[in-house]
Amino acid sequence: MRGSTSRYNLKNAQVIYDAVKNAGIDFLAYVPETWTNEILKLLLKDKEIESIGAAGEDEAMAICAGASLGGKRPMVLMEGSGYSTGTYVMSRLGLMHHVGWLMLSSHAGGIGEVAYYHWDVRLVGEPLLTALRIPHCVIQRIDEANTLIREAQLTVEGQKVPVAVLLPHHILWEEAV
Amino acid sequence: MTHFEAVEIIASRLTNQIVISNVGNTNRELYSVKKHKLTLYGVNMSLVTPLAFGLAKAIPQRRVIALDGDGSMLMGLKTLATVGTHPAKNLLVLVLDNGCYAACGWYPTAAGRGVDLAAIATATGFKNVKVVNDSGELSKALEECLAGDELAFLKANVESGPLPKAFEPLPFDGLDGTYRFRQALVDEGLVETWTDVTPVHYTFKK
Repeated sequence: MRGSTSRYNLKNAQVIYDAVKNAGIDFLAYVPETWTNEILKLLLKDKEIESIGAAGEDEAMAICAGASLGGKRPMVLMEGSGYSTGTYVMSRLGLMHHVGWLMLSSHAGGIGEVAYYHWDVRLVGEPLLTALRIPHCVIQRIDEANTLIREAQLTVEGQKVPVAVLLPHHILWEEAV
Repeated sequence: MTHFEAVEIIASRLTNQIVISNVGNTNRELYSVKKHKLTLYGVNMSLVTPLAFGLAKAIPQRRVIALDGDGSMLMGLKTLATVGTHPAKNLLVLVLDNGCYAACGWYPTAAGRGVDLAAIATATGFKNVKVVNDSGELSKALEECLAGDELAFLKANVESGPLPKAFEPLPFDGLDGTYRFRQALVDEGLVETWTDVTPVHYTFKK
């Protein structure tokens, strides 16, 4: 959000929610945040998806790892800064124990981010995922959302690894005219 | 009651429960007395209880035990708040509280300095909270928790100190252990086979 001229892109939130459903996600652990608020609202209304409000991104990842081992198709919804918080979990449960789960987050620190407090996320967010060899992608155009989220989930299940899908400002917000 | 005596009692009660085991001495002691296929061994500190919680939610028809330690629980203490407010009836959080980090020199944990993990569990919403101090109490409490149908928190106060004997490392690593555990879940009919990954379950929309 870049001030009073920004408002949620409700149409895009619906597209992303639909993509999550198409990917078969049936379990959600989330830490609420501003940017993905409208997506979370849609997910919480969905009675087919069991939702757990977690106290932290690391914990949300560990819960999803357990759900994944138990046969669910889980997803973490969080702010992009959560990749820093969850590094230990991605490393231990994702890489060492070979357990996969989907992560959908705002791309705090990506192109279009203006908040000074996400400076560090820009510096370490994607580099951290790269360093951990966590497959990840940024949805740059909303018409890519269905394909990329579906493909991400297929990699989760096939390669048993956490996979991150990042949503930049221009996907989640629109500017008032 | 020593840590190992507590582990022996727990192992003797294991049948078809799913167990997520903490690292360190708990891990090795448990494996030395029980080769339990439905145990995921060696889950790192702070991750035992949230992982077990996710499993319990995914497999509600089977009892899941988070075999945790006080140091590990303290590292991920917020999980008690999450579990307590999203109760899983089939989850037992079992904390072996020796008040110290036993694997690395018995440095005291906050629990060893007086923090009451059972009181925290109560404060975060656990309705069934038990604290035991000897073998008889542990056996009885464990039996009640495993027979029950509600979220439970069981803290066993155990003694720590040099081990009476050296326990060998497990003969498999974390990755191999996870694959064995996955296969055990498949063999029990609790999850679908995990080796055959196909996208046939998807009905993609254009």
